[in-house]
Amino acid sequence: MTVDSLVSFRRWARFGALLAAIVVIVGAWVRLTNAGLGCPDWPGCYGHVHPAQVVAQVDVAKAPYAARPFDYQKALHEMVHRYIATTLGLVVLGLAVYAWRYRRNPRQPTAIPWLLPWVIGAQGALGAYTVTLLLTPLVVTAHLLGGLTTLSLLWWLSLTPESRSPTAAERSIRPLALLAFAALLAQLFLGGWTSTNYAAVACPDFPTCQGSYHPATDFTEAFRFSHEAGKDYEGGVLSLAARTAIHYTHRIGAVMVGLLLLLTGLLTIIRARSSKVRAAGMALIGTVTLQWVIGMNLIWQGFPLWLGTSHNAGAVLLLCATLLVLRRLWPARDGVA
Amino acid sequence: MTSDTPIANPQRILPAWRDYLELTKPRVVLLIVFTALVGMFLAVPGVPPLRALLLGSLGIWLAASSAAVVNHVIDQRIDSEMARTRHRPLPEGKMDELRAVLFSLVLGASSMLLLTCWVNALTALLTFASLIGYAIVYTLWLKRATPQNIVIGGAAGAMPPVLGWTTVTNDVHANALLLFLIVFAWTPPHFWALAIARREEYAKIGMPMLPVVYGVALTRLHIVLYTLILTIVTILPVLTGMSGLVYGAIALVLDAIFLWHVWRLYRDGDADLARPMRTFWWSIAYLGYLFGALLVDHYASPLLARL
Repeated sequence: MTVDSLVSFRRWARFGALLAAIVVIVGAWVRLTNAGLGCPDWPGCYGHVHPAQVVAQVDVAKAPYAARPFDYQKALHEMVHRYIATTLGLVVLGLAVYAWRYRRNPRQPTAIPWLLPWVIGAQGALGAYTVTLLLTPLVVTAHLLGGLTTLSLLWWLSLTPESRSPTAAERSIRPLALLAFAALLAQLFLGGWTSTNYAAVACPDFPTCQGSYHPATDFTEAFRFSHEAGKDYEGGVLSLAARTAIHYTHRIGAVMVGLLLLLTGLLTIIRARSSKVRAAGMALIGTVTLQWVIGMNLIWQGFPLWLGTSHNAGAVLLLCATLLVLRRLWPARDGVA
Repeated sequence: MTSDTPIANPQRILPAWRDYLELTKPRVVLLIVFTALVGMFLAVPGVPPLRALLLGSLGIWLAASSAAVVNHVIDQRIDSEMARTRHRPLPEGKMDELRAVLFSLVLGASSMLLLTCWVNALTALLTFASLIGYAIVYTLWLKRATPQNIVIGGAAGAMPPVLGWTTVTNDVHANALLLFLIVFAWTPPHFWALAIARREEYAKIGMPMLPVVYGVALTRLHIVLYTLILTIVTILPVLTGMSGLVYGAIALVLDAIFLWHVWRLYRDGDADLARPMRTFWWSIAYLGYLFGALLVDHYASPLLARL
């Protein structure tokens, strides 16, 4: 009975994680199709549930930022993202109620399921601010990281911890794995920062940038986190030198974080005592390689939409693979799933 | 070697961060901050300014935590005599009084500083009044003075949605007072359900709770009557136009469940010993759902009206 409830809980969490991944990737697609301001209001689109209901003349004039022309395609992209995100919100609420119902089962996780509705709520608010603060990079990046947090928590819940204790050899990988995870988080921020500041195109070549290994950069402007009220950030506002600095930092990060993750994956494979742990290490190596290939091709092929979206999907996979390794290295404590 | 090795040790010199956290009653404070957040979102059409939202909720959270710590300090003697509260950090000796007092001062002062400098003076003033109202007037005096303690003291607990509202608008709107009224009417049935369940312990320490002074039967009747008042009060937001039918529908369902609980409590009497606590737990969920409904309605009703 209790075992069944846990299996079913994890299955729902897995479904939630899949949905969260879709929300994140569709979110990136919204950003890359410049549809983030497709609806200038929140939660409706020009006050409607679906953009097809918008009457161009009547509604658009009343909307905030009426200067922005109504674009049905962009509005649709934005609303699709909001519909799926709302569905995810319902799944997360369901998991919280589920965890409450089975809270007396010592193996039922409760902290994360009860935290998740708050994370989702904050995400809803950040989504609203993304629109009302006209795509302020820090808010949009925070919205991305919030989405990845939601995904991570759901993915973590969906993984069944191993019942055996890890061997000393497996435990010895822990510090490195944690370091690599922290580095990955920083790199995810940098990736979001690159996209939201429209800094990808600052370096249209690889491995050089603007034909040089030492392009002009402005790091002070690149990482200034203040924003001006009422300023429209669509298309980016930073100088080329600042965008170059952001892009270049993300590239250097890609090499260093990638190597750290590869090392973690390799050691995991070498020191693993079971095929499950080994598989996690292989998944990590595979996703690092995949993300490198996508990243380089994104530049070489001139930033096509599908590769940009794939780069985000690659990040999602990379994060999940890293969490999988961590989960395998930290089996359940007694009584805590 | 896992992180759960160091078990709480009463003899250790420094309290752990967990003891500090426990002093702030994090779960109760979370519900308080949630009602404040709803006040912020309801104060304006669309979304409130990000700055007010972040600083306001931080300030209210700090103030509520500070009040909770004061409550722990003042109640440590009676806490040590009740099974429910015996394991709090102060009665257990995991935390000494001086540290707790300093902690509450730091929390309260930072809340006041934050609200005064970066939110607005009105919110700071009202927050301060609520803090004093709960920590001093209620905990130190009312609680031990009259069986109406939690009815009057409930005013302090009902303030957070108003505080959230003023954070955003710097003005006490009538609708904010409506939110106040909801929590105010909710507190007596919520607390008396607990008081019935714990009446023997309250009697032992001489706390004049309603069931101790006037008996359980009268308390049950009061719970039913206050829940009826609550039902009427929760319909008011629809009548004043603050909230729409989405809220109205959810509120009616929640009220019906609450009334069913308290009716069972009234009718079954002592035949069902688990009923008071079940009513108590439901009342907490009720408030969370009700304010969640207010929040959802604020955005859903205008959209659905145009379908």
